[in-house]
Amino acid sequence: MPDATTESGARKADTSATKSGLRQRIAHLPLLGTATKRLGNHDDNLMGWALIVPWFLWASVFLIFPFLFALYLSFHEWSIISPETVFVGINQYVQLLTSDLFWQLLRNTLYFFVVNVPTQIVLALGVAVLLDRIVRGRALYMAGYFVPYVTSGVVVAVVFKWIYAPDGYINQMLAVAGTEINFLGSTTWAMPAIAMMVSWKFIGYYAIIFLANLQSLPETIYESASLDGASEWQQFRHITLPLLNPSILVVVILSTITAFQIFTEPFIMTGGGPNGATKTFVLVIYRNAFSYLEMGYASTIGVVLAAMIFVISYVERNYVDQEVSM
Amino acid sequence: MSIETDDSGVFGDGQERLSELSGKKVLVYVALTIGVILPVFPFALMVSMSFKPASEIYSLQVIPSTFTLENYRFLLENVPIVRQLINSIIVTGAVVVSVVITSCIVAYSLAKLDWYGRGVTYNFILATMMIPGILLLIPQFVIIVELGWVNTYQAMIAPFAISSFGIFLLTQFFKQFPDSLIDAARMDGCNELDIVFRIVLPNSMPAIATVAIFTFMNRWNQMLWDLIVIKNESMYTLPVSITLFAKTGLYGNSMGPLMAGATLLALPTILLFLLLRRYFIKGVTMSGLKV
Repeated sequence: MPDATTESGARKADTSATKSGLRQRIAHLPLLGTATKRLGNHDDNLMGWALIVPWFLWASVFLIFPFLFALYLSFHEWSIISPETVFVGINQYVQLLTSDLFWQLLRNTLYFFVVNVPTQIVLALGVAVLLDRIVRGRALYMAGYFVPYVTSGVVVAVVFKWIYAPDGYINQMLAVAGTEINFLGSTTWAMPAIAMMVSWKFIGYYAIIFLANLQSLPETIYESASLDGASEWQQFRHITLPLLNPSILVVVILSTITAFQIFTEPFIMTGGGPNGATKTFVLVIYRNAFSYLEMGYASTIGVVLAAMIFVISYVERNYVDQEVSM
Repeated sequence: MSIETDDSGVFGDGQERLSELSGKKVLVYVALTIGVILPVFPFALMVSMSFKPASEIYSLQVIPSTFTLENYRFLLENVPIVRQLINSIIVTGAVVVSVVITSCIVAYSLAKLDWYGRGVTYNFILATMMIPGILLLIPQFVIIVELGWVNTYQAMIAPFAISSFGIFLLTQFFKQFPDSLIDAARMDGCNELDIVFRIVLPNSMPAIATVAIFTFMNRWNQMLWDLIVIKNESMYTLPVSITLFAKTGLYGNSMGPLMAGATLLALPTILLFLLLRRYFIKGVTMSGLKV
């Protein structure tokens, strides 16, 4: 193997000489001809492919086949214990989109999203702007704000389940003021409580994305702006905020993806209750697939969910791109 | 994108003295200090509860007045927690090693070799990052069942063994790697794998550390997949064990032991993060780029 590359120059010349006869003979063929011609323009075809093959093998088993199989299953009824899958066409899609459950899930997700996104952007931006103004100790503060993000969602859910509990931390303090809120047991409070907790987990993460963007802004703009008499707030509003558009986009897309895929938190804290107020798409997919063994229907929900995530992040991307170019 | 930090900490040797700080700057520090209580406090609460005796568990006091290891002892006696900790370590370790090796090889091919179809392949790999994991969950589970891998380590390792994000991150990094070094190595008789593991890899440690740490964090914290493919308590990883403990609460007044378990689960990632936070932060700014 080692000498294969030392003599690669000579060898390449050899093979191209023997190949050229073949290449001339097939050059007139419409597809194969152009393909071989293009192939000849690259130096490392064999080694390049050899190194990528492990990825292709793995991806066909764990990405490509599963992706296609999920689409296939979404048109079939299948409980994993029976060998037969029954083709039902778009029935499961119709069943899903006309069910109350789907609209409830959409409402819950939207509710989560509406609480989550503004909270995260405002607080993360605040932290980033403050961190941007200091150098000493920045790493230390950054670490503090970032800790929730690196910690397992399971840990966060377990700790907040107690913080929110009727006899938990917040309620013991509220008791001093004479009130009590059963956060996770109330249909109005359960979803905002979970959304606030998830916001809390991601603030440090988004703050760092904002901070990286803030640090890339040229200082000369601010100098000329303050010479023109712009107040600090005006500078923030009219210079910083528009220039942060790219990272705001990133944060909005990441929180959209998070909002649609929330699972661990309601699974541990509420089980989807009370009265379905914290049911999420992934929770319902999990139940359908692994409690009721409705693999087909669960796949249908999965496909619809993936399509929604894709479409929404696509729209967000184009919308914010427009804003930036204006 | 990089963030300038001064690792000497608040009390390190810097140019600024406390007396030289302007009033505005003091306000910034005060705001940051008050703000940082919020993300840290729940963890302080968790650790403190794990050391509190059952009689005190519901008190608001953060520092326990009596300090006990009873909760940890209870956990050891009632849950195969040591075995589950080892499971987590085996699975996470195998996944990190595999992701680092495969990402290096594939990224090298994508960044430094010239072959037909390279651009299409790279875009295809990037596109796979957009597929939500939940869509693949059921088919992947079916594959694991068909392979007879339910309740095995390989079921928890194989689907995570290669990472498109790792490939993306290293490809971006390797593109900046000087070709002259690679050419020189080739002249000296290195084959392509020698080049990857002896030339490119040792000179790309920051990027590789970033991939390793992110992979570690994601795999260590993974719960849903393990919940599905593992049915046997002694094969559970820590997140599954703590989840089921929290959901069923089988053991009566189990708040203390539960917090002890949560502490065990949280500790490795937090410690690693504090040690290697530079790479975490690099990974975050990179993962922002992929969207």
